[in-house]
Amino acid sequence: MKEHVLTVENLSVCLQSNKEQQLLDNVAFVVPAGEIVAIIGESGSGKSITAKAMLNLLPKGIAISSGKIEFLHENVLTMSKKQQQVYRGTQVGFVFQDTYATFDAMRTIGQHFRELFSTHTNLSKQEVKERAIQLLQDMQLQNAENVYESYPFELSGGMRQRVQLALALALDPVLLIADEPTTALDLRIQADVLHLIKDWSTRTGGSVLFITHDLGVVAEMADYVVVMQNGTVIETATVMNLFDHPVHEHTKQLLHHHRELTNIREQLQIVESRPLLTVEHVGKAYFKKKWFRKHSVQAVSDVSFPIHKGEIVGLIGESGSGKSTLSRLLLQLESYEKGKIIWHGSSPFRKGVQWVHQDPLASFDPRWDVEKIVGEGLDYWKENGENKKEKIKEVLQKVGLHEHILSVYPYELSGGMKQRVAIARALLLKPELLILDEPFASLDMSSQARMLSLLQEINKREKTAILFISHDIRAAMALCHRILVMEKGRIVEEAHANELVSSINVYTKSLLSSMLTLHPSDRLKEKSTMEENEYAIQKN
Amino acid sequence: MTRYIVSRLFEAMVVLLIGSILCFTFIRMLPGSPAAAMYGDQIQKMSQADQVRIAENLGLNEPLYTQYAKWFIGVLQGEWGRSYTTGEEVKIMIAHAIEPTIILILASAVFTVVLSLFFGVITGLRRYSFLDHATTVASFIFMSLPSFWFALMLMLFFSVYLGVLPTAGLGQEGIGDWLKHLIMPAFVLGISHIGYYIRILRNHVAVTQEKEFVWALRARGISEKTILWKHIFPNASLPYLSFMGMSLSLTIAGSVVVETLFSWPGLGSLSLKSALAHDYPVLMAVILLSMSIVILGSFVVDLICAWIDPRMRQHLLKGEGR
Repeated sequence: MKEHVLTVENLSVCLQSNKEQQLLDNVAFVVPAGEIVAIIGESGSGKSITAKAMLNLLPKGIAISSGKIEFLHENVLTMSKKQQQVYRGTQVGFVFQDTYATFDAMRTIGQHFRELFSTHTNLSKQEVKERAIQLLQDMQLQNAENVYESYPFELSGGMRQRVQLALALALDPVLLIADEPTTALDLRIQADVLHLIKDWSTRTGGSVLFITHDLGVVAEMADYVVVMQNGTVIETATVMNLFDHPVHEHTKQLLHHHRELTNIREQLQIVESRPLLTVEHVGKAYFKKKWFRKHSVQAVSDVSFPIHKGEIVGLIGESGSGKSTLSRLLLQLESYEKGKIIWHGSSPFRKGVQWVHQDPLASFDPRWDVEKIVGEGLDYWKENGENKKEKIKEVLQKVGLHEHILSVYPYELSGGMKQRVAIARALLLKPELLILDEPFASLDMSSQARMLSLLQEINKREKTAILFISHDIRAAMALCHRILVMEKGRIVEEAHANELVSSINVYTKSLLSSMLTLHPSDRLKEKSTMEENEYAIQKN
Repeated sequence: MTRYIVSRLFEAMVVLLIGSILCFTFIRMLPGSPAAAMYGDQIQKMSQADQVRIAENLGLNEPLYTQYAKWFIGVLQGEWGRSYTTGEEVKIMIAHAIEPTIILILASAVFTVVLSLFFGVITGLRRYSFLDHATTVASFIFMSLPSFWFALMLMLFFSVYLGVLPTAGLGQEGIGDWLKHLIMPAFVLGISHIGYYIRILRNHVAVTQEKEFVWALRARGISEKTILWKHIFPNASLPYLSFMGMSLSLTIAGSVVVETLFSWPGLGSLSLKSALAHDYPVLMAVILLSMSIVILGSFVVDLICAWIDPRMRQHLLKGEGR
C-alpha cells in the first residue's frame, strides 16, 4: 500500500452566514503518493470548493465547519500562518482554469517568479532567472527568455497556462492541484498541457489532484476517480472500474453523456439537395496601419462551401484559424472583399439566419428578463400582437425550459440555461439556418451532452440547418453531418464525420491526435504500441 | 512615446487657443465696462467725449477680432499687457499670485492623498466594518457641506474662540507662522472632495482584493503584506490617479472661494477681483494659466499612469489612440 500524500476526512464546508447551507458534506478521499486522482462532477457539484479547501483558502463568506485535511500526516487546518505559507508555496502547486485573471497584469512573468523564489528561497536574482527559464523551457515554451520578460497580457492562453504550470512546479512540490486547467484551451494545447502534467508526475513521483468535468480528461489522465454531486462524494474507484463497472446512477449517467458526446454521427442522406446558403470564393483581409505602411492580415481566403436545408455542418479549427471571421461574414456583420455569399432561403436573410453567441451572458441585456430577451426578435419584425407571450412560451418549451423562467434575469440562470435561452431567442423567428459559435465552450460535460441532443432534436423536428463552429473536433463529430476543417483562413478539408477519422490531411490528423481517449484502456494500448515501436526501432 | 507627447502638446495648444478665443469674446459680453468699474458712479458725470477717450486708451473701441489679434500677438511675445485698475504689469501680478496658489493646491493635495490613502485602503480591506460606515458618513458630510460655511466655522472655532490660527494672509515670520496660515485653507480645499478619493480607493481595493490573481498569490504562499503593497495597491491606485488628474479643475475652482475667504493672495482671489473690475488683461491671463495647469496636470497624471501600468504603456507606444 502506497503512502497517502493527502487524506481528507469528513470535510464539511458551509456558508458563514447560514450554517445550514452546506456546500460540502462529509467529503472524504485520499491522494496516494505518485498517483493522479481526478475529481469529476457537474458545475456546482463542489469540486472547485474542494480544491480550494485543500489549501485552506476558501472565498470570503465560506468556512470549513468540520473535518480534517492531512498532508503528509500533518493537519492543514491547524497549521500556523507561517506554516501554511510554506505548505502552500513549496509543497503544493496550484493551477487554475482562468489563465488571464490569475496573473497580476501589472507585473512581468519574471517578477512573478522572483516574488515566489524570494519568499521561499535565498536564490539571487540571476539564479532565479536561470531557474525560471529552465522551468519555462521544461514546459516547452519557445523563447523562454522573452516569456520571462513579458507581461501576462502579451502571451496567448496556452502560453499562460504553461507559465502557470511552471510557477506551480517551480519549488518541486509534492502535490499538484489542477482546477480545470485545460477547459478554456484548444484541444491541441489541452493535450500538451495534460501531457506535461503527466510527465511531471512520472518524472518526479509527484501526486496530482485533478479537477475536471470531462470524462475524456479522466480517461486520459487519472489513476483514481472521485465522483462528486451536490457537495458529496458519491463514488470513488480506480479509473478502470469506473468506466467498466460504475455503481452510482449519476456516474452511469455521466458515462452515458460522455459516450453520447463521442459517438460519431452517421452520414445524412440529403433528400433535398437544394442549398440554403452558398459561399463562393469568399476572402477577407484586415489592415493594420503601422506608421505609413499598411500591413494586411488575411483572415479568410478563398472559402467556398454550401449549406443544405436541414443539414448540420461543423466548422472546426484552432483559435485564430478564421472561424469567427467567417461566421461574421456569413451573418453579414462585416463586408467581404472577394467572392459571394448567396442566400436561397424562403424568408428574408436577417430573419432566416439566426446567430447564437459563444458567451450567451454577454449577449443579454442584464436589465432585461427572459421574456423580453427572447421576445425581442418579434418586435423588429412587427409580429407583436396578442399571442406574443404564447409564442415565447412555446419556444421556451422547445428548448426544454419551463415558463416559470419568463420573469427571471440573466444572472440568475445557470450556464446551460443561459445557452438554452440564447437558442430560444434564435428559434423564435423560425430560422432556416442557425449559426452557433462555440456553443459548448462554457458548459460542463453533461450540459454539453444535453445540448447536443437538443440541437439534434431541433434539427430533426424543425428541419433547421445548423452551422456549428467549434474547436472541439469530438463534439463536431458527434453532432454534424458534414465537417469543414479550417486552417489559417482556408478550408483544408471537407468530409463526413465518419470519414474524417481516416483523414490523410496533416492538419486534420494533428487535430484528431489531440482528441482525448474514450476509455482508460486505450491509454494502455497506446502505451504498449509506443513501447513496441520503440523496441522495433532499437532492434533495427 | 515621443509621438504621444508631441500629439498631446499639440492638443493642448489647440485647447488653449480655442479657450482663449471663447473667453475673450464672452468676457466682453458681460454687462458693464472696465471704465464703469474703474470710475464707479463718476462715469455718469463724464462727458461722452471723455468716455470715448477712456475706451480708446484701453483699446476697447476697435473691433473684437483686432483686439484679440493684438492681445494674441502680445502674448506670443511674452507681453500680457497692464492691469486696467492698478496699471501694474500683468506678468508681475501673475508671478506674485501663482506661487501662493500652487503652494495651496499642493498642500491640499498632500493632505487629501495622505488621508484618503489611509482611510481608502483600510476601509477597502475592511468593508462594512464600523470604521467603513463612519468614514462613509463623514465623507458625505464634508462633500455636501458648502466649503465657505465650513471655512467660516473653522475660523470661528480656531481663530475666534481658541485664537490659535490666523484667519487671513500668508505667514511671513518663519516656517511655523507660514504653516499656521496654510493649514486652514488647505484643509478646507482638500476636505470638500476627499470623500470621492476615499470611495474610489476603497472600492478598487475591495474589488482587487477579490480578484483571482490575489488568490493565486496566496496559493503560492506570498505574504499578505507583499500582496497588499505590491499587488492590490498598485492595481487599485490607477483609477485613483486618473481621478486626481480629472479633479484638478475642481480644486482650482474651489481655490477661488477658499482664497477669497482666507484673503490668500493667489490666482483665485486675483481672478475674482479682476472679474469684478472688468480687468480684461488680468482675467485672461488668470484663465489661461488655470487652463494650462489643468491640461498639464492631467497630462502628467496620464504619464504617471502609463509609467505604472504596462497595458497603458503598450497602448501609448503602439499609438493606437489614447
